[in-house]
Amino acid sequence: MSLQTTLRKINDFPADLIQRRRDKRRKRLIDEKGKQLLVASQWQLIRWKFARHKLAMASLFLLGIMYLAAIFAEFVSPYDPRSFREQYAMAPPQRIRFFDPHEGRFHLRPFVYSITRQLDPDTWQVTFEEDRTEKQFIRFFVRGSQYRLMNIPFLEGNLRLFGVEEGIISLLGNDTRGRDLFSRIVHGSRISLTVGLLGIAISFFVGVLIGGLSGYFGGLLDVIIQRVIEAIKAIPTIPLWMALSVALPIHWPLTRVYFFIVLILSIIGWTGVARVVRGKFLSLRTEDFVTAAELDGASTGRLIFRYMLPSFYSYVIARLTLEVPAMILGETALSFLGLGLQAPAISWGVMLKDAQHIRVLANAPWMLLPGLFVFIAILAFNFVGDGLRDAADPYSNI
Amino acid sequence: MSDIDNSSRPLVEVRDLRKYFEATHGLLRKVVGTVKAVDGVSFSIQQGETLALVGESGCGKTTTGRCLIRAVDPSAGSIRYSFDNADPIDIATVDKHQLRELRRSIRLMFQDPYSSLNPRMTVFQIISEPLLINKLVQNQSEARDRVQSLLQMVHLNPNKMDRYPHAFSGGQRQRIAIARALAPKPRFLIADEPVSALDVSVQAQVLNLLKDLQHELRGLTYLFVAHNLSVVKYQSDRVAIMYVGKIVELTVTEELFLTPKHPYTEALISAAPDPEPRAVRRKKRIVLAGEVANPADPPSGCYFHPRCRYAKDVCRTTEPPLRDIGTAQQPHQVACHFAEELTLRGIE
Amino acid sequence: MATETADDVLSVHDLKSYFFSREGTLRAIDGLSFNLKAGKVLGIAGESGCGKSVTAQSILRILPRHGKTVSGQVLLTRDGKVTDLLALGEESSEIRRIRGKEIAMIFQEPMTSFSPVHTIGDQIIETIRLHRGLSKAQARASAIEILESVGMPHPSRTIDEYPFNLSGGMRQRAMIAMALSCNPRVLIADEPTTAVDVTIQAQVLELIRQMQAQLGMAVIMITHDLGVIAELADHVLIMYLGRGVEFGSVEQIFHNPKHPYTRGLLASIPKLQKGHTLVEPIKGAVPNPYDAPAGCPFHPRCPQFMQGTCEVTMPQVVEVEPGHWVACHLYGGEDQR
Repeated sequence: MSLQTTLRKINDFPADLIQRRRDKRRKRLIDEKGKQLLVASQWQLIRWKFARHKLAMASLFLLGIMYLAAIFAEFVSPYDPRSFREQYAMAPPQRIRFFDPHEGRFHLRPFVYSITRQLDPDTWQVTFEEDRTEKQFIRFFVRGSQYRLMNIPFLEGNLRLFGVEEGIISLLGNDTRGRDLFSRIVHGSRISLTVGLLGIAISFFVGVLIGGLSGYFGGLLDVIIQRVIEAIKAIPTIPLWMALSVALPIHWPLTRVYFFIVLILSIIGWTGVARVVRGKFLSLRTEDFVTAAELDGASTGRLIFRYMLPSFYSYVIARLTLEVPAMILGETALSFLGLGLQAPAISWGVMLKDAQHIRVLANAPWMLLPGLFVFIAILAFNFVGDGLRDAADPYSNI
Repeated sequence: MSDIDNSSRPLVEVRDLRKYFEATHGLLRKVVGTVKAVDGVSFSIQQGETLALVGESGCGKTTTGRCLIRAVDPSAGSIRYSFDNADPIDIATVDKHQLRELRRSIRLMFQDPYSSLNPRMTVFQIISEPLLINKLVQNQSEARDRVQSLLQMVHLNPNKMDRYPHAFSGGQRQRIAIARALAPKPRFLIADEPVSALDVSVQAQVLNLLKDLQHELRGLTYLFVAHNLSVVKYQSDRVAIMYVGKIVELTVTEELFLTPKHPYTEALISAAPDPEPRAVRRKKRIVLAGEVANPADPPSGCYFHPRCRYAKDVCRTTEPPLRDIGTAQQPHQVACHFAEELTLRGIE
Repeated sequence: MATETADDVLSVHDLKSYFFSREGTLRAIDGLSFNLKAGKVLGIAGESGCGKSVTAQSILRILPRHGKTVSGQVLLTRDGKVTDLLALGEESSEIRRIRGKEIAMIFQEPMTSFSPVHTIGDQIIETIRLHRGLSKAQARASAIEILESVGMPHPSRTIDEYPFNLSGGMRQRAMIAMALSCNPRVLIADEPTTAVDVTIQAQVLELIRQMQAQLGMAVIMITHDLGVIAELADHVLIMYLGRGVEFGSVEQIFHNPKHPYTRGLLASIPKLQKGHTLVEPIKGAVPNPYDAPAGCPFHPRCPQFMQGTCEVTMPQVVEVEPGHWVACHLYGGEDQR
């Protein structure tokens, strides 16, 4: 017996009425959403549409965490990424435990076992052994070594997100000189993750400017710009990047090298944007609402900034998001080849360069972990870009 | 009908208007052909009147309309516009400053209300845009007052002015477009197929609104560009039929539909589908052979002769001029060699 | 709607086709029934969102990916044998045989029915060979014959043209030729004249009328233009938001309309006759089909809205005079459920 018939029997309540009430409630919900929709701006619509893209939302969340970690790298990482600890060189990642099989007890607070370095007297092979009797509980918000947040003088401190009181904690293992890989990856993300963002920012401005000029004014200027873009696009990317980065003077300070690497990476990036922007300008110039605004007396600036740009920059941003991975990969590739940033700079590419040696790969495969982070970041950017692209034109199915 | 002022000089007087588009090819933009979209069109519109420009696609009716507001620059000809009863100025040659002023007095309305309203602006922003740009209002609150009364004028709820266009149906959007067009208090409205993108049942809402507004705002003048003859007959005082860039017939609506003088007009009237099964089945439909001539390569003589069932030799060789065969009270212009001799069928 | 008789070539019963998307379920067709008599023209008219094109797609089983026919019957009668098209698989060989051979379709935009990389001749010949099993030479001769019969100038030359080389009117003719190449029992024409000018429209309508008389096929003419219906149709089905609201002969619909929507539609169109000077719009606009009103879908716009009835229950279809069916509470009829 269905709920409705039961109810009818009990109360002599017309089932029809229940249904109608339910419909009314549903309709009210729809109406409320609908009312919001009626006064929703373009960005709100994009947000709603993007929010329905689960994978993109998850990726955006992940990227958010990664960027936060990059900003507060000193706080998040338990150690100074540059401090050598020879006694812990090539220590493997430690396992985080809650359950101690030795004691047969469960601990609410996670812990790791202490590790000690052992040298095989015959083969001189270095191994690390867990001391099952000595637990090191992981403490949060501990005092560690002194640091300066983002190298800003008055932001000094020694508070770290987590750490252990004695011995070491190495979540992702140590490198050949005993530097903590996790701390290095977190610090490395500062360069690796910002190269792409800065790169697309430059691509965006150059691309919108040149593409806009080309599309809005047309004529001979358009023809020349288009030929130049074709010429640039015809140059193979990696050799061009290599040639340009080899040309950077070796004695330059790190920050300058960094900005030039970004510039080199965006030398190709803007051309794609310029093409898109030009195409959009060309089609928008004949769009009725633009003509209407022109006849209203709107100035060229007003036409461009109030009517034309807003109708496609969401689309351009979505497209650019999809180009971030290429830039991250570009930086990684250049640094890996030793042509981009060099140690002591820390980036994922520089770290991977350390893992080039076969001995390292055989004995410390975890040193390839920066590659995993490159992979995750790139996938996340791709998913976010996909989501943005789908959401960029919120008027497509309303 | 509307308040037509026949005594004074016309509001708009178009003389020999031409618009040629050049087809170019290659990097150096070599001219490979000329499309005569508008080819020597002359007409005038009295204040308070509705003139319809009718024809099939590619006949130049839209381009003519666009030339009148200089959305398209004419290649030749003059468009004399009597601005506030001052001496007429020639729209075809005015400078930038005058053009700005002129475009407050002459407004253009588009066919598709889905593409003519910026989806990223609210209705208030859309309608107030011409007011703010031209500094016709001092501040936001004055703008809101004006937009409110404009929305009331087009029978839309002013409380909805902060909504975006996607919240409105096609018919409502077209009314928003009308409100925007009327915002700077124009005297002349060019309506380019204002109802052909709308659902049948709401077309009449927009048509009747345009009619009512003409009555309310005494002296509002329309150029009504359309292809649907029933709508034109309902809406306009006079009708100009265009064929391949030229006007072939121009007269008062009644007269044109009852006693057409050009074979093309006759065929158009005959071909128009009418929701009246008995009448439709009784009449013998004239089905024109072939298709509209290519304006890049028009035929010799009368452009219509390859499709005309009354064509004679002279039609193939000599182009008929547009001439008046009507009376002084009721001019009837037609471009056909045999306008007086032919007895053509109109509506019943 | 309408009683079933022996001379029905196609009858549709309680057809429901829905579209499923994140916004919800769109009931594009929600319980539609009609019959098509052999050799007659049925006009289906309605505004945007009324489901007239989806009807054609449902019959031929060519709904877009997110659409699904959830219930109903589409019975095709051929030589005494009745087939329910909805019982066939969407890609089954049987439905493929029926498409083109038994039921052909022409569209608003002729380019959609031609592949741009083949000549129109190739495509017509292929259709003929597929359905009629002729040799290549015979099929070509037959194709030229058909092109000639649809008034294509120089058929033996145009047969080797690519679709984009033809003018709009010629493409329309080529598409009709392809549709008619296998002598279909039923021709479905979906807004065939919406994209063309009046003089070309007159040509196309004339051609459809001629070919219909010549081949004796039944035609479903789908359009928003009541003028086209008045000119061509024997029977008319008026649709509103996925439902048939009125069905009758063309005289019944145009001269004695019963449903307030039909009346409103007819009153809202300017007519060409002498002295016709008043048009009366229907108030409001077609609602969003995702959020169709309860009860009679037309009630928010209806001038004869009856509080307490129209917004509550769906009106039943009643026969107000022989062959004239209306779904409106004004004419009695009990709750359909």
